[in-house]
Amino acid sequence: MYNTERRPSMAERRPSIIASSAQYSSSSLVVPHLAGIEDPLPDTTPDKVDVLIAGTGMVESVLAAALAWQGSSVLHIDQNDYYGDTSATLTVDQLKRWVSQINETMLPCYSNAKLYVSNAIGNDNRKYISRDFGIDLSPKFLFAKSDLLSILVKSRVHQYLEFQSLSTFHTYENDSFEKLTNTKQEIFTNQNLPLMTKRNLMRFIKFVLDWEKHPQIWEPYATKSITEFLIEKFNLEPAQVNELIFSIGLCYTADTKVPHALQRIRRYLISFDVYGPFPVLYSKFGGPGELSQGFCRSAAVAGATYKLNEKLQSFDPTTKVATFTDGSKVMVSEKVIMSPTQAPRSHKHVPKQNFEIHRLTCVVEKSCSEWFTNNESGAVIVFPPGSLKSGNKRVVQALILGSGSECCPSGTCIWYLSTTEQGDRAEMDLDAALEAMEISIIRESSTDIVNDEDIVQITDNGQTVVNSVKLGQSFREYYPREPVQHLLKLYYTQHTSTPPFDIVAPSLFENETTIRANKLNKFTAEAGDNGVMYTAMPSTEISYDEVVTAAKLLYEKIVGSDDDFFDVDFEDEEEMMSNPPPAKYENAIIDDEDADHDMDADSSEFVGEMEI
Amino acid sequence: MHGIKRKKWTRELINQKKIHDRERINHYRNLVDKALLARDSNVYDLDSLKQTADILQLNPELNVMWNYRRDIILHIGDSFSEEHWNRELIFIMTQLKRFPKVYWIWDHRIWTLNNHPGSSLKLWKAELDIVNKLLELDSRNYHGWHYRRIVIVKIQSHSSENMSKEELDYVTLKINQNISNFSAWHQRVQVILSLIEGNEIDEKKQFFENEVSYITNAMFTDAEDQSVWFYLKWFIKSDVVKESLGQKSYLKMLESLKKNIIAINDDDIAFSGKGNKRCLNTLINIENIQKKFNPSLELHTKEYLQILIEVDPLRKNRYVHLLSNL
Amino acid sequence: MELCKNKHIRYIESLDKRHEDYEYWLSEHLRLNGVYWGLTALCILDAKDTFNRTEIIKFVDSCWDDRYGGFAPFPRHDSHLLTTLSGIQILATYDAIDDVLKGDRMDRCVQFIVGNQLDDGSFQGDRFGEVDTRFVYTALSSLSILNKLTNEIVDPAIRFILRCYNFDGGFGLCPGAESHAAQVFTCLGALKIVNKLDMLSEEQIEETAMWLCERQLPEGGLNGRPSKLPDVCYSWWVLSSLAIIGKLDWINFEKLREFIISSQDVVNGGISDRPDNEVDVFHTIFGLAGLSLMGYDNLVPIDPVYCMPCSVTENFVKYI
Repeated sequence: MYNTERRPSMAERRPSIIASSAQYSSSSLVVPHLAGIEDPLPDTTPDKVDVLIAGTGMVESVLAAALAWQGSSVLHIDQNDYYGDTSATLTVDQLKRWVSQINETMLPCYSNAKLYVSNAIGNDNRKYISRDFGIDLSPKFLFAKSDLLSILVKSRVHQYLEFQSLSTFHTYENDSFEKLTNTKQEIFTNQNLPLMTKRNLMRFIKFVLDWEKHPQIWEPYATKSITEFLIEKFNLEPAQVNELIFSIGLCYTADTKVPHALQRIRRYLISFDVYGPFPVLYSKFGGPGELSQGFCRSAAVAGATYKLNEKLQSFDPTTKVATFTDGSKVMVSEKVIMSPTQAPRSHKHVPKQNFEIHRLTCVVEKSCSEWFTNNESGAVIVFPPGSLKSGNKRVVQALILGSGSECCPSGTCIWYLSTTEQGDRAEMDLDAALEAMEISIIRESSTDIVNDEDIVQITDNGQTVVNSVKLGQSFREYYPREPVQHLLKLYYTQHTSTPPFDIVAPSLFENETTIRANKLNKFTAEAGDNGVMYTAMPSTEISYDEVVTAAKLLYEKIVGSDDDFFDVDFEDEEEMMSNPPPAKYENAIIDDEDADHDMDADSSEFVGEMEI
Repeated sequence: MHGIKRKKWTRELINQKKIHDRERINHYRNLVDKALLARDSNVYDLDSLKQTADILQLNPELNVMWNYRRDIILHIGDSFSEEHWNRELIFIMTQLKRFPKVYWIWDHRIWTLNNHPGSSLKLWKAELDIVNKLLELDSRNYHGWHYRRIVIVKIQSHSSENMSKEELDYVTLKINQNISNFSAWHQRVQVILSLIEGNEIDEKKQFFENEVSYITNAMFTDAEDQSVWFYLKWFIKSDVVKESLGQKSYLKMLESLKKNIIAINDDDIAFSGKGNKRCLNTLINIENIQKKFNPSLELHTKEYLQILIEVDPLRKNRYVHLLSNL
Repeated sequence: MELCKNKHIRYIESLDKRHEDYEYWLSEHLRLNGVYWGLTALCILDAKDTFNRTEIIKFVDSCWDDRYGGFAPFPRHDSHLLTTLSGIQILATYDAIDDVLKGDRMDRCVQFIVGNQLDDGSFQGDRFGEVDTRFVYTALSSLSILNKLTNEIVDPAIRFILRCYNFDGGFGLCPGAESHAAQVFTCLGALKIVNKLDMLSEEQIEETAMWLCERQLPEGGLNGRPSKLPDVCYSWWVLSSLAIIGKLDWINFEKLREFIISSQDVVNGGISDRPDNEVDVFHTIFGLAGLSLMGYDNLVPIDPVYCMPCSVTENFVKYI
């Protein structure tokens, strides 16, 4: 069953890039083929493996690569005819099938899927074709300083991928999108910030960079909310408080506990200026879908076997034999790891997925370049609690990817909205956020306004409003004349066992029945998943931060310790060191913050004069 | 060596390096021997010029080669065409990019431009662009800023225009990017003095009042950063500022700065229970100036110094010394 | 932690035996300076005899540049004011000036130095015109050791140095240049050599001292300019400057010692710019000289003006 409806995979895209960036290339840049995409699927499965992993989502793929490089024999399967599972990047046609699977309740962990596709997309001479789009099921971005990034570099998976910078974070407030003021330069040059606010903001930013070292400041607030802390201890104004908590910290509610929130605010700030003046990156051609594929390829290089369209029928923990729906079998000497989405029909132990993530994904026929920084193609918009018409109690987060991300054609843009709100309220919040974004993009991209400075406007009651600062503010009462064209609109609810905002806890991987059963060697009759360890569904976290934590925990459970997690030793390591990866990031500008080191490094061989 | 992490040398690594080095040493010493031999035989031609370049790429600090290179260029004389001179500039630039902190390279660039037969406004303006680029990579490069001042003098002498206004915009940009860039603050002082000297500022009073709000803004943005405080110290003591503002406005300015500095200091006390070192040092200076105009002013020097001993223990002896001098 | 004296002696001793290292050959242009740094470090460690006096004097002799006068860093290289001072310092330490600067060499050497003074009193390093207060210092220090200073040389040089004084209390490499700790040392050192420190007012000197003591960072080490990283070599440039103006104790000794000591390589000897970095002789001498100025570790006293053992400099004829 060879799948024709798909986006070009990284191996197929890569040759031209290798040629054009010869100066960076080393032999390891060659992207290996993956079974089921570029290569036919293997006819047979191995007789015996150490670990069987079902589902090629982000966590499972990182785990497969880590295990394969550690030396375990891995069989990695997926019931779908594409890679990525819960992290997949899908074409419109694939998305249609995926939605109908959910609605036929063939896919656990998802519900309430609704899809609208404009008739501008189709395969018979329409304006767009299905393959033009790559829609992420759980969109994510990457902090410039994070576990995953260092593993991407260490494992060299980054060489298969292309990253782009994303520097613009907006906070939605008073019907307008404010850009963040978060660097010393912006704070210094911002004409609108009162002097004391500048001082308080800088003081907080300096503090949070090594907050753990200053317990005398935060410990008295350890069990209190971050809002209280920022207002009481740092005298910050509501606008800054919102920016810090919701946009920089990407928290979901105002009562997030202090240590949690500080950690999240810090990760943004330390990521700034690592590769350039931006905090996060995203991968071109698709987010987690691309990354999981990259790790699968890495695992394949290390010897893992791949099979798509393969589904587990049952596992017998006594004989250690796994049987697939096509009748084939494999002996698994160590562990079976499985995504809840890939559970056998006769499953009895899938952990309870207690938390809902509501998502609304929209493709609009607008470039939305107004929201991007020059040369960039992505932006993040955060709607703090209470900022929307719906009176939202929790944050709505939106990741915007333009055509430069190669996930949609020129002139279009993908909006990924999500909320941790539970139940019916969630969709109302998402709709309200969508409307706010539509209104904003229409007025900001409107060609009616020739000059965006010194705009004079007469309001209904005859008052003249002159505004030379921000377009967004001056057109508060402006109603769109033409609606935004939606090419695609998709609602769905994803269920997960990971609470919003929590770090993945080891207990998530052991539901009680399994533990008890394993201990007593007594298994549930008729269950196809006795002795199987389930991975967690992607959480609501918009960064990749949970992925490594989860994969590491699972790794430790299988190998016994995480000491050699991605302890990969490549032969040409030395060469690698002299050719550090940052040079490859698009839009990455060399940072001058601590030029001391960089600049000296070159002339290092010379015992010079004093450091100047 | 500067900024190079200490390496653990295993026997194997040492052996590897030995083998690797043997070849490099032979190659390098042969090149140097040949070049010195040529120099001793007074060989001055394009071939020997090429030899020095090969060596300097391996070791940009070998000044005897830079010297020989200059002697060759001087000896070749007129047949060292403008094209050759330009190529020389390109060679130096690639060296500078690799070794931005080597004195000899900067020195050779200045020598080359001074001797370049096409020395012109255009040539020196291009240099300014180059300095801008280098200062983008390392905004504190000591050579870079020194070189910049030389380039500006050259441009001014070629065009007889005062560049100080553009230069003020440039340092403002640099400070805006990073208010801890003391090199830019230092240059700001030089530029302002030059503007005043050249009578380039029409509204001096307005100019310096704007400067006060610029300083105030920086003070509030980062009161721990010493750059702005050094600049402030110059500002309040500068005769130019005093004369331009007039005594009344000058005293008013001091009072307003003092008020803001006290506000920052109080804020620090409220936050951490400790006074701010930079604020207190500056308050002592301001009060000392004010005292000259108002002998009855009550000074807080003693009180401030006692606090400084607590909040800045590294410099305790300085404060003790100042206390004993009261 | 202790200062690993013996390890440092062994480290310095090993420096000239590294012919198999590429870096050894790449540093020919600093060889004479390196010998001076090593010798002075050994003097501070009271191990002067570790170097073979005869061989070293022979090497200095071989660095004489007969084409232009003065000393080159290495045989067949070109003379420069910086290396000329190093040569003279080594000879003075061995009391061997007359052995090497014999015949017309003494006159040619003085002529080389004086010939590089420019109209504004400044000095260029050699005939190619680089001007820097470092060269004023090296010229005056060399001539002072040789007892060849005259008013005609000194007065314009002093005028130039005073023009390098900055509003923040520091000195730059030329008029208008940003303050830098090493430049402060060369300017104060030059003034002190010619007994002209009183050309600066009491207030100016206090400003300088304040700028200097602000170089100390919380980790104890000193930097060369505001907002730069600490570096062991500034233990010398800053401390000697403070010593020259009688404000040595304006920084915290214990913290600085801690920083220098933690920058030692306790296995192979030598001191680096910062803890855990690669060591070199330049940072070794200036780390040790800093410790000596602070009176730590029973080191031989060092002269803050000449950076040579006091026992040697006390014989220099004072310029009045």
